[in-house]
Amino acid sequence: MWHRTDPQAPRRAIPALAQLVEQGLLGAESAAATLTAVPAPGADPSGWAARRAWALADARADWARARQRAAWALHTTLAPLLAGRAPRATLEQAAAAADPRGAFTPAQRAELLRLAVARALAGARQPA
Amino acid sequence: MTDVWSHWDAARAPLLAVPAALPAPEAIPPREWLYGTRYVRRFVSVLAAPGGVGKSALALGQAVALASGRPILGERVHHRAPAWVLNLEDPLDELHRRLAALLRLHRLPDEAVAGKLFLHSGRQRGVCIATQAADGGIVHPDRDALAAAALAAGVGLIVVDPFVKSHGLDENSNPHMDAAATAWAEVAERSGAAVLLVHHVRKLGANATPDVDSARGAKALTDAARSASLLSPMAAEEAERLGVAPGERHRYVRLDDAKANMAPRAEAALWYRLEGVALGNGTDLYPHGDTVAALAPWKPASPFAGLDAEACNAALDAIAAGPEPGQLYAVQRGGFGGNERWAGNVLLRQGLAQPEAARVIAAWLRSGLLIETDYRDPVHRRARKGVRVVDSKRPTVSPRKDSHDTDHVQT
Repeated sequence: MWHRTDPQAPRRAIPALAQLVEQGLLGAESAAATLTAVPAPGADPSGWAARRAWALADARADWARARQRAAWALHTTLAPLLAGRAPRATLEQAAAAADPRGAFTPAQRAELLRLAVARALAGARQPA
Repeated sequence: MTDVWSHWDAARAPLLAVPAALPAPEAIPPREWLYGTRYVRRFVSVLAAPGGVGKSALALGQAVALASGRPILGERVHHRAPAWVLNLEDPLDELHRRLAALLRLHRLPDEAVAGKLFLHSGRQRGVCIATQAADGGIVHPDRDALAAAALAAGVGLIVVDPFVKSHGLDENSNPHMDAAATAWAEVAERSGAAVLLVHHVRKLGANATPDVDSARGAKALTDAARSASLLSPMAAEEAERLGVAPGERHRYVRLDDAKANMAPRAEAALWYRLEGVALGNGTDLYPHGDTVAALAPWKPASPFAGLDAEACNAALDAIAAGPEPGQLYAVQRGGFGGNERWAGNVLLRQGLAQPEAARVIAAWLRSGLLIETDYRDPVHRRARKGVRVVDSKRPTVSPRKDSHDTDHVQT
């Protein structure tokens, strides 16, 4: 919950920092330190640090849920395409469409796609 | 990354029944044999042996033979090719000792293998061709790098010693062993090298004879190999038959074709003798230095050495005459009449030692020159067994040494 005097710049920075933390690109302590370093002119010092920390935690939880949803969307979107032996370009487009918010980095999405393809190939070679 | 996608693209290719091309036989490229009929480019072979028999020494010897282009172990080297020994158990110093012993034993100068032999110790950098990822899938951490490195060095033979140290999969799982063997086959295919997987056999009973199915773990490994060889120690009865002293038996090993998909299986085993080679690397602390075992080919001596056709016929005459009129000699020593009735006594009187005499009698029995028969002993008036000579099979010319040798080497 923000206070009416809380400055906009840190408030805008928090979701971006939380996204980087959840993507594994930034440590949580570094994110907190970065947030502390953002100028906050006019902020009411009473509870500002706590609000900032809670907002960061909430934003991280939000991105964690977004990643879970994106992972599931990737799975369900790719499954029929893999079964149908879709071409690589189609699979990459579908993977990108399954994660519109960018919960995963492009490299992470490509790795998830590669693992899904490897599993599909292994399943085809060694039926359980 | 591209690896998975290349497989994906291959999996997407339509499956079509393509008519056989029927090329002219002379237009089909021949198999790229490297070493005897054991190792061929782009295929996986297996060498299995119980622990401590000398499989690492044999694999190193084969690699040196290939790298030097010299048949130091008695098998044909089709053409000289670089060899890469991935020893995943021993430190590099130990590999250097074994190599030095091998070169010294076979009088090979360092130049014979310089630039053609590559040694890798797993103590310095492990090799993992396949392992299980956290999500349960199988990944191949070093497969691409191995293929690229072998290709870059122009390697003809990759020795993986032992296979079990080259993967992190379940040895008793057929799908896992198939995946590991397939990964090595992919290295072979991409690099154009032959791959030799050195493998242990499972623990056997004291009197059990190991065969290709004795290879430890799931059978998919030996099934995936195009050829499999089995190295085993000399058995006690073999030592007796081949005239090897019991105390020396541990120094002799035999190599059998256990599986040969691409060439007729050799009927005769190859024999090797482990020789201790002093390296002369003594120090103040270890003044005697190291004596390291290296393999040299060995051929059992022919029991017929020194026996020409005339001597053979004289011995056969004496055997046909029997120890007493009307009596026949016996096949075995001991029994009724003691050792006096043993047919080998005739050969002992010609100067042969007892083991050689026993081998000659055994060879004659196998060839049908001597047959064991029932007869009535007129002296003791009882039925007995004795040997008769089949005159139609007597030697008429000087016995061919090699034919006798072959007879004995085939075990």
